[in-house]
Amino acid sequence: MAGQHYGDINGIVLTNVESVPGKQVTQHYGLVSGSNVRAKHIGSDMMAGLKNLVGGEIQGYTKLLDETRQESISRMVQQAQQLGANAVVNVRFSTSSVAAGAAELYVYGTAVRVE
Amino acid sequence: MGYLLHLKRLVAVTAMVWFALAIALGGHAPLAHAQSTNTVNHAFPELGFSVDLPTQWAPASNATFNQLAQQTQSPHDSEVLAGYFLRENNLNAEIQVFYDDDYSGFPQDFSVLEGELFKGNPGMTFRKKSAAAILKIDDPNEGFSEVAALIYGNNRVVRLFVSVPANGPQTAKQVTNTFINGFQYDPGYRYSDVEEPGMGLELLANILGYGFYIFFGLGILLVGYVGGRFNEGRHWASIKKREKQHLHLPCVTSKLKHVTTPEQQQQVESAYMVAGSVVLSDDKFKKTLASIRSIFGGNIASYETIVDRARREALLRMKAQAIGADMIVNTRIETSCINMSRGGKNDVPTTIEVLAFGTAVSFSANAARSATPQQASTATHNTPETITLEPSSVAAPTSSPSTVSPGSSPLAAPNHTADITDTSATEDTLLGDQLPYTAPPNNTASGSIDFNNISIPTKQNSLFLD
Repeated sequence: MAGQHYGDINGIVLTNVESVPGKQVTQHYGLVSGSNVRAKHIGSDMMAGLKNLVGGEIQGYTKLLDETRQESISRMVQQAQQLGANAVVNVRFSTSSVAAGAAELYVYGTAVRVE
Repeated sequence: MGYLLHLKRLVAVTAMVWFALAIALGGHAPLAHAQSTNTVNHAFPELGFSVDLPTQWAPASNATFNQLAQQTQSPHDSEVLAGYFLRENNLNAEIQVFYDDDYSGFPQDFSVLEGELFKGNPGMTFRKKSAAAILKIDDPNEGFSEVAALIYGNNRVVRLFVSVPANGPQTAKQVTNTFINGFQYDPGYRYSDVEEPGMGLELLANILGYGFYIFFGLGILLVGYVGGRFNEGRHWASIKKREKQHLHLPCVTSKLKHVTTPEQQQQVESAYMVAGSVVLSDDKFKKTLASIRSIFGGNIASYETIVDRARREALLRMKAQAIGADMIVNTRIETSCINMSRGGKNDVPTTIEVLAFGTAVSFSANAARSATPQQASTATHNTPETITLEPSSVAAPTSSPSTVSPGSSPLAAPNHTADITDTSATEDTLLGDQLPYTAPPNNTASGSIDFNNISIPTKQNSLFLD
């Protein structure tokens, strides 16, 4: 199942609201971001072609995009850790197609310290 | 994937039986021409037709008219064949003479031909065109037969194309057909040795051969329709089932402070981001429907269900991650198109990825349950929307929303009477996000909210717009 929760990634909490609810923001560290570009491999592409006949979920792609997003997030989290933050708030995702068959998944947010 | 495998096997077996039948009956069906004992089918895509030729006449892969000419027993036969039709049909024809660069046996440049052949022959014009020469014959009484003779005499490998003036008495296809018939029935070409297959069987084989294409085209559509419907039905059932399971988990696009009281905000136990994503593709049938629809414009209903399913699936996957949470706030849904085409612009399957994400919030033990609407109305924000939280006291409904009647709804919070408005049971309105949700337009000034008039948004779009 392509879902994730970001409760505690190496001590960093992620939210997509302005703060971490129930906690006070004590320090701002500014923008942190992570990106990852991945291309689909030919095997999953062929399966996707077959799957296109009957429609439905293309699990290979779901998984691929999910993994790519995970990687972006872990890069962002790494950046936040280096700044000494313990949370990233206001997280936003952005997907763009950089080349045929390749997608960039960009994630960004504000690194903060909450208490 | 099991049914897909069966489907593929079915297609493969049907195709094999089809081929076997077509080949056994031995017609000129497009996929069955290899049956003949001593003829080979040759297609002339430039001319738009194909013809069966005796095997011994077609030694090279690019067998064309001139190679037939090479089979003649004397240059005179070439004249009969080539000149005859022009004369008999009183045609002006343009003959393009191409020679094969790769053919090592070709001894001369066309400029030599020009000098040898066309000198002093005012009825013909000749122009070079890289590796080809175009020979234009204005007078049907001359030229063509000489070209054929030249080809024969020099043992050339060239390609001849016949074209006729646009306003001429016959179309190019008619001319070439006449030409072909001349080849076939001229005894000088030994064509009479070839036995014609029986007419009835040939017709049957033709039908089978062409039928295969029709079968294939329609078959793909049919497979797309059946498979797509099956997939979609299964997906809807799964979505509905899970939406009921997640009914207790409110999921809103507002910020936390807009949907909770300050007291509740003090009692937040944990908050973290959750996300769910899905990649969904259309099927061949929907694609065809959509392409027909795009001629005239308008709603593409077959695609609306895809994006709807994708969004709801993504929301469900997001909710599945929010285990133990009391609500998801600031939900955002992002849809992106994944273009899978490789070159062919016409073959762009509609594949979308939907990502849903939000912040899952859980309150300490009694916070959510003790929240009352009166507390909610004292919130400091100035937007009128208020969501009353009744997370775990609301049991997941076991019946379809169509049976929900005012006053008896499982959604109705026990501490106020909710007036549940219409929730018809169509797939478009069944949402896991149906909440005791109020947006009173009139009474914001007084700060009090009429909780006797709480309505549920029934249009999914009202929740999906961001």
